[in-house]
Amino acid sequence: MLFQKKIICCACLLFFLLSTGFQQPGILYHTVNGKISFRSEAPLELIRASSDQLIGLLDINKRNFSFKISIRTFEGFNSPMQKEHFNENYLESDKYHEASFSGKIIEDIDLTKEGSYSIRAKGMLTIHGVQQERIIKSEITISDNKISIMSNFTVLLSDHNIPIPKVVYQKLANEIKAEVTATLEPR
Amino acid sequence: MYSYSKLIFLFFLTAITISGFAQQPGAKLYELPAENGEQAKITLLCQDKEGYIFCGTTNGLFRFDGIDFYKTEQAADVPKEVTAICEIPNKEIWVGFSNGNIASLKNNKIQLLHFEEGFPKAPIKQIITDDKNIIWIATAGEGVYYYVNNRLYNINMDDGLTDDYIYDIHFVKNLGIVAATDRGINICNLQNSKKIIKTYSSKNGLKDNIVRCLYTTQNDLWIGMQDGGVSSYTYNLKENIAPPVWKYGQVNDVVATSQQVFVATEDNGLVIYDHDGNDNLSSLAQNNLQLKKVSCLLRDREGNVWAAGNNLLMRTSGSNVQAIYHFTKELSEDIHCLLLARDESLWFNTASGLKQLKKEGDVWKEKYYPVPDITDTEISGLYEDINSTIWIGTMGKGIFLLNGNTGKLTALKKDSLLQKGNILSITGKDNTVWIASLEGVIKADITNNNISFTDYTDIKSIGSKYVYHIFTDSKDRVWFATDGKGLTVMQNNQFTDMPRSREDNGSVVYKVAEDMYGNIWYITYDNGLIKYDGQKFTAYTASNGLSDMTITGLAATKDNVLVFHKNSVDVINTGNGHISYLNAEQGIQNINTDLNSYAANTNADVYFIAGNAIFKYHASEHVTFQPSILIDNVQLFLNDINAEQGHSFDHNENNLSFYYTGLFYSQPDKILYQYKLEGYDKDWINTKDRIKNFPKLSPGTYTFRVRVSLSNDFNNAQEAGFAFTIENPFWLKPWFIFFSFFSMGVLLFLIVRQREKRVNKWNKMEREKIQSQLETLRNQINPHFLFNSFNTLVSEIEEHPDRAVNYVEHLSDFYRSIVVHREKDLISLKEELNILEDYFFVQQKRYGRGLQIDIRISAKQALVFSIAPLALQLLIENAIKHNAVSGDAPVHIEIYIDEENYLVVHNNINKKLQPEKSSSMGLQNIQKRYALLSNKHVIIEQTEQYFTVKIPLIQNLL
Repeated sequence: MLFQKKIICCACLLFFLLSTGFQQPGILYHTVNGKISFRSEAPLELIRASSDQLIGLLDINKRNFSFKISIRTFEGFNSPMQKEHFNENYLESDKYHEASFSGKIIEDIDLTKEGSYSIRAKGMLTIHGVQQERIIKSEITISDNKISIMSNFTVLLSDHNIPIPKVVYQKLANEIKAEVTATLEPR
Repeated sequence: MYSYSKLIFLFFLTAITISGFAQQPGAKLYELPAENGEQAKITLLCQDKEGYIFCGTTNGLFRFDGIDFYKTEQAADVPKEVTAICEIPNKEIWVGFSNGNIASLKNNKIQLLHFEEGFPKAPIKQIITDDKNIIWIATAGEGVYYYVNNRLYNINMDDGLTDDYIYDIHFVKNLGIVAATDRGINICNLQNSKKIIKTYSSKNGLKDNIVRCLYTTQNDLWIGMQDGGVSSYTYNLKENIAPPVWKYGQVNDVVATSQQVFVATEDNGLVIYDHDGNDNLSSLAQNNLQLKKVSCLLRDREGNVWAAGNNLLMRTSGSNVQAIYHFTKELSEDIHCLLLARDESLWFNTASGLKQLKKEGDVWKEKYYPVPDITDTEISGLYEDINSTIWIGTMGKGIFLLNGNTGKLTALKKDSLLQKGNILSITGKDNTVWIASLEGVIKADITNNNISFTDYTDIKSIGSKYVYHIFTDSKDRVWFATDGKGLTVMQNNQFTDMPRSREDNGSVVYKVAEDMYGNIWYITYDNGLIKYDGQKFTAYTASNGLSDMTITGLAATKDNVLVFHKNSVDVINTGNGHISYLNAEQGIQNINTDLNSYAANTNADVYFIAGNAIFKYHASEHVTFQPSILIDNVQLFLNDINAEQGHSFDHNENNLSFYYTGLFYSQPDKILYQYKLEGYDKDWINTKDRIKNFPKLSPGTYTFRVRVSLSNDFNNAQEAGFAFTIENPFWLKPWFIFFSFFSMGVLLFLIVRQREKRVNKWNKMEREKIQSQLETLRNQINPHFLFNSFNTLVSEIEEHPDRAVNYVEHLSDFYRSIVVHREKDLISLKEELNILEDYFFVQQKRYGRGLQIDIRISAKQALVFSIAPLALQLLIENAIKHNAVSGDAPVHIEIYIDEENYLVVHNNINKKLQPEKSSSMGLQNIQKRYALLSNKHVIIEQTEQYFTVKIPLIQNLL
């Protein structure tokens, strides 16, 4: 398991480096155990799940970032059946293993300075294989050479081609609320 | 035959270059008031669809109605420094701030919007909407945002913008969103949520990469640059009008009309260019006034161009009216006539000759042609004939012809009139020239270089020798404006006197003109302006909106008729009848009142002289806009309420105030209102007030209507309304009235029924009473009783004669009691016991010890209770009647009152061998009477030994 994680981590880093075009790498911060949770408040049923295997990288010089989560790691559903539906019917996690968000922080702030900042991250949110450009507002706190990130945002299922069968329409809201907390440390 | 006498003339030509810095006429300054000593600066201007001009300032948003500024209320968390305004199609206004926040103005209040993505953190420079209702937001530092489906997206340098600092954005149809940046122009388009960005910069020929502002007209995109001035591009980005050499520094904003470009500069005020639509910029005007720094511009829907800088707001007439040429005061006093030649050069007289003004590039070229022996009052009329020869009419010196190319001046010497005549006007069409004078009319026909003259001085044809003006209309009818005979018309050489033209409409006509619909307009000495549509004559007076009944001139161009007065030019749109005004507000005063001092061309331009300048009125630029009106606020008891149309007020919410504003920025002082509360006022009421209060309105349905006009003519005036209802109080509402009537009916019905019941009961009781009396009487007159009584009496007389008297006394007392009490419903128990005593005395004498009675009723009880008369007597009688009474077996009767206040009559039963025939009338009668008297029943109990009757006693009330 740990080995697997490391592979993913390396792959992720590789992807990140490739995507930044072999530029002079800046100072990288990372996390492998960020927490992500979501909840869907449908009229009939509250669905929620969370995972603490969010992997993230942040280049504090260029303000570039990349986060990803393996869909299979979400736990805490109401029932095993719900989890199965989540993975197989809605997110098709066999086909689309991961969800990711990568891009750049809009604000031109110095991420080496300690303090709390409200920032907006502009990037591509990929869920269910569908890319959507998003701006996600986050609160970050920099202290003790650690960067903690707290962020709330919503995801529209329709934005990512996640079909909602009519039968469960009352059970699944189109708007999913997601919350991310992660603490990044220097690599 | 016609010999041209050559005059020795002085040909004197001066060509003077006039600097083009003409002041913008009628520029009016408004000062934004300071608030708590804090002087806000105006940063932007915007006019919403309702017509209000909004000023974004460093201290909030102000509404401007042409007279005053009103600060817009804003929530506590809304920042102060407004940097962008945009009217969003759903009728709300978005306001952008210098800190990146965005708020919306709704119901007169500004409140922050909420985006999940958060607000930008760079100043908002501009907000616009495109044809798909996507909202675009330009920021100074974070590129462009766009808002669609409640999400905010960003386009910045990472996406290909050349710079993230955006000064301005505009939407151009078929091109996209054009963003002006520090590094050229970017054109953004969205295709399937992909951002497509094209760049246009100095590499493509842009004069200056720093593009600070954009403006779009129908066909052109205008850009204002940091140092490169202003240039225009077609929508496929081909440079259309290149900027001239620019020396006015930083451009902050630009507005273009079809004739002019208005440029807001940082240090050089408002710079105004003329451009002829597709070629080079020509002349230049600059307005320096107090506005050295101009931050923003606005062209309102009336065509005015507004400029603002620091705390000042300036209105200019835009391209509607321009002062195109200024002259000295002395010269302006000498001018009597103005001619617009076909080459667009302007001719006017001076004290001793003619001047020609011709525009060459940026400047007016001036040429002077002296006319010998002419004094300052003598040149009265100018005309350019088909050969471009200028005809000069004089007072007393006839007519001269001037060849503009050679400067050759010729006097017409055909006859005395042409030589010495007092020429009033020279007009014409094609080859024909008409000369109107104090001595009559002469027609000149031009064929090649020959001129032939026809004399119309015969008074019979035209009707008068005094002719002010001759006008040839589009149907080649020739109209003569005469002094004394009104209008005369000549068609196919036939003269028609038009008596109707003078009957009601004045016999002195000064000038005739024709509008594009073929109506003939003319002005008269004492009857104002008349329109003749071929059928009828219509007079236009002050009630139609003319500013003054002293009319000095008339000109028609396209669908506008211009009526000149000393201090106002009234512009009548002949299509819709709207009148607008050019007056001191536009800087037009002391208008030259001479008959020939104005000129019109077919291009809808009219030139006239006012004060010390020649003005050009450009009709096609002048939007003849009606003043618009809106109801700003409705107050209840002088408190703001957010009432919608059709609001229902309670009956006690009956004090309403309406605040309304008429918007017409060109003539804010001329705005008049008429209001009418439909359902209250019968007629429209004129007012200049902008608030109307109605106290104590009675319940009903009302519509407050208010309309606005620049004159007393309110036909076709714009109107605003507020419909509302004041509810009846609940006691006047139909359901309540119905309910009231219904319950009253029910009550009445119940009362009647109750009464009927009582009457029935009473009747019944009456009947029972009579029955009872009858029964008692029958019993007492029963021969048995009498016979027995008499028998007893006889034996008493024999044995105890003294006691016999006593006996008879009791007997008679008994009968008297019956007679006395029979009519009554109730008697006291005491009285009944008295009767019983008499009766018992009589019976005891007969039965002796066989009849025993035991009355256990106290004197007090006897007074407290009442009983039906003779009821007790009847029961005792029954007891005696139905039982065998003997000394051996006595009948013992007990009478007492039980705890439930029943009078109990209890006796033992000694059965008779032969039962008495009984009708049972007695008991039944008592029962029925008590059923009516009391809600308790008479109780009859019978066992083997005892018979008991219980009569409910009735307690005396006192």
